[in-house]
Amino acid sequence: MFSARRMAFLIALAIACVGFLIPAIAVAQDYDLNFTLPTAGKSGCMVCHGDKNLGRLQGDQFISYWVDGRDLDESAHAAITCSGCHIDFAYKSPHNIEQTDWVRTARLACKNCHQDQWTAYSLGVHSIAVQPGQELSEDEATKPLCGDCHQPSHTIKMLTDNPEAQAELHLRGFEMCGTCHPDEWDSYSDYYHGAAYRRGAVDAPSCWDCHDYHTIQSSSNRDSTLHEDNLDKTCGQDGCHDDPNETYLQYAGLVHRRDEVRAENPLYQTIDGVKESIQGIFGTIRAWFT
Amino acid sequence: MSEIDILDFNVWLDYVFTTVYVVMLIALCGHFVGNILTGRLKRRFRNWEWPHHDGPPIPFLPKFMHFQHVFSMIVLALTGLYIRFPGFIFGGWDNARTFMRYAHYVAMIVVTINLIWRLWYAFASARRDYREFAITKQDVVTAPKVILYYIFVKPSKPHLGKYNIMQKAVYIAFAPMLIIQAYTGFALVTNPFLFGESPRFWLLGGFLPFVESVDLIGWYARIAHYILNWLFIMFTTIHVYLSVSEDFPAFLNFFGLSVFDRENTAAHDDHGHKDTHGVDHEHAPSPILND
Ligand code: HEC
Ligand code: HEC
Ligand code: HEC
Ligand code: HEC
Ligand code: HEC
Ligand code: HEM
Repeated sequence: MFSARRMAFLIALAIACVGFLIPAIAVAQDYDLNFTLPTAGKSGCMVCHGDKNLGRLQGDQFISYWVDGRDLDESAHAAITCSGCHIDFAYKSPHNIEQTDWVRTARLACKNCHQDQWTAYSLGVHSIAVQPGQELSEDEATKPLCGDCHQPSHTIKMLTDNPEAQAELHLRGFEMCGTCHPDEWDSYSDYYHGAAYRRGAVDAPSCWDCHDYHTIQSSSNRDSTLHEDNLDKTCGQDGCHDDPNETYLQYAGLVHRRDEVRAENPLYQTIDGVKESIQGIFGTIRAWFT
Repeated sequence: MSEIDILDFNVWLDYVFTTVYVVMLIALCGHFVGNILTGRLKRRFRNWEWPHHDGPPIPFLPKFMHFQHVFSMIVLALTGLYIRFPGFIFGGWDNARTFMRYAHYVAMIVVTINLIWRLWYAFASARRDYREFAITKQDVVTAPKVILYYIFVKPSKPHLGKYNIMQKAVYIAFAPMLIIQAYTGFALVTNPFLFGESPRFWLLGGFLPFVESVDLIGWYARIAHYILNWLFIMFTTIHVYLSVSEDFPAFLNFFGLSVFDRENTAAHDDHGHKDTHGVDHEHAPSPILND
């Protein structure tokens, strides 16, 4: 089958062949390319990145630079050129990727087109306060950029009016927040929210259903969705708790605390102790036979 | 209750009930050993000596109702526990909770219908058998002896009617328990499909001026539902254990398995008199004896 991508590839290849000499692109070999690709579209990049064998050896690890064009074509960004996100890449080969933090650049390039989200993000606790030219502090460097949450970068789906993609996103709490907030991921295990959410329940709230996603604030901040003044709205979202009162809303403080309360429960400690001694006894018995 | 209390309380409930349940299972094992030591087990399962029943066989309908009621209750208990402890069975199954919910919803409707049917059957049907459950003065007077029988102090127990006092007490308790369970259960449904409001709203009095927060009462409804869940599980476990160990043929008969009943000839209890103890029919006992 001749896909559009392959057509584009061939046309680009043909154009490239006419004007330039194309040396073989071999794995584990430094590119000795030195040419500028023609075109202002994706096809230029795909001349090389459409090749499944494109990659480098780093130590003895093979890093693939192959890009499946279909991913992008099916994503929300089908109409965007590669350099829309990879703004530090000229259509020039080889790229000097060692010299730039190209991943961060691409993960932050979103702001150029999604200004509303950028503004929202800048108001939240994850926003990065660095002046141009300034070095990132260690703290700042661990904050998520747009692309850290919106993964995988090449398959970002339309979310507006797309329940399927929303449902898929809903379950990505671990990848989206849990990797950086492992303690809160672990502690999000209360009876009716976390324990169910972590088992893939579609109706249990994701981290951002409570914390918001772009303008996340610490719960002590008055603007936070989880500040006590705003709990009625946050817990009272459609389909959640439509008739809470003040006492009820205090339970918000329990969302991340079940394991803590459990660990303090004397009966739990006793049972745990008994369990451990039984395990200990069996361990000893087993040790006799091995 | 302060904010931490309610969580603390829920955690306590989990551990207290699981502990009590395990202790109860151990006690039942102890009782079983008692059956072996006193020779009761041998007489029953080897010599096939069981309580004698007279009266015609139990008709199909009560048997069927009881059978599917048992089934639905087991479904309710398992799916209910799953809703509280997602992943405690079928752990790896993605989004099993949605399935468990719907299973709970189906079974709860079945059980509610059973409950209404059973109340009708007991009080309003042609056979109205509610008198079989009434605790008489005689029952109360002889209660200690029944208990002594169960703890192996006495070889036999007084025989007064179809059920002994402990059975009566438990079966009577089942009725309000199930009514409360159904009530609190429906009060956990939050979908607003009844005149724009949820069953929770109506059942927990959301329309009353002094009700501040239906959601808050919902918490307590949930706790009540959960406590009752354990009471059901414990009572039913004992009920099954006793019906098998005290009157296995009746148990088989009730599930249509009488083919496994070794012939029941002159099977009288060691103590000589007719004893229908152990005809454990729970919510759907045979009404025939009273006809
Ligand atoms: C929506 C923005 C966006 C677009 C459009 C985009 N990329 Fe990327 N790409 C990224 C980001 C961000 C990364 C960094 C790695 C990551 O986050 O997964 C990346 C990583 C890469 C990598 C490194 C290998 C990998 O897959 O991680 C290659 C090669 C690449 N892009 C090529 C392309 C090409 C070729 C195109 C055009 C056909 C393209 N990209 C279009 C955002 C984009
Ligand atoms: C902490 C993780 C996180 C970061 C960082 C993040 N987003 Fe998002 N973003 C989300 C989540 C989660 C959603 C989906 C929310 C939903 O619809 O439930 C989302 C939704 C979106 C949407 C869909 C439209 C909308 O606003 O709902 C766009 C566009 C978007 N993000 C762009 C960005 C851009 C641009 C940045 C960087 C400035 C960024 N995001 C940073 C988590 C993040
Ligand atoms: C060159 C401009 C451009 C860049 C750079 C860009 N996007 Fe987009 N993005 C768009 C356009 C255009 C759409 C489609 C909007 C539409 O069709 O309504 C879109 C759609 C989206 C959507 C779906 C929005 C919705 O309403 O459902 C998300 C999420 C998104 N982009 C995230 C990102 C992220 C994350 C990055 C950075 C890695 C990024 N975008 C980079 C232009 C861009
Ligand atoms: C790439 C790592 C990363 C990701 C992904 C990430 N965060 Fe964060 N988050 C941070 C860092 C770092 C801070 C600390 C910022 C500060 O203290 O200034 C933070 C702060 C926070 C805070 C405030 C913490 C406090 O103690 O006040 C909240 C709440 C939060 N994140 C929630 C989320 C949620 C919800 C998500 C997912 C939608 C998420 N984060 C995704 C790194 C991340
Ligand atoms: C049901 C609502 C809810 C959900 C869902 C939820 N949280 Fe929270 N989270 C809270 C509340 C309320 C607090 C503040 C009280 C506390 O500290 O326990 C909080 C506190 C936090 C904090 C500490 C900073 C702060 O704002 O006080 C972090 C970090 C955090 N959550 C991350 C997460 C992550 C990651 C997830 C997803 C795995 C998540 N939360 C899911 C309600 C929620
Ligand atoms: C008789 C009618 C019953 C009705 C109407 C009913 C209804 C419900 C409903 C609506 C829920 C909430 C489900 C959800 O969150 O989506 C629930 C939860 C539950 N049900 Fe029932 N149920 C009934 C009987 C039972 C019985 C007989 C048992 C156990 C023997 C049981 C055990 C549970 C448990 C353990 C929960 C979870 C409670 C919690 O999360 O704390 N239910 N029930």
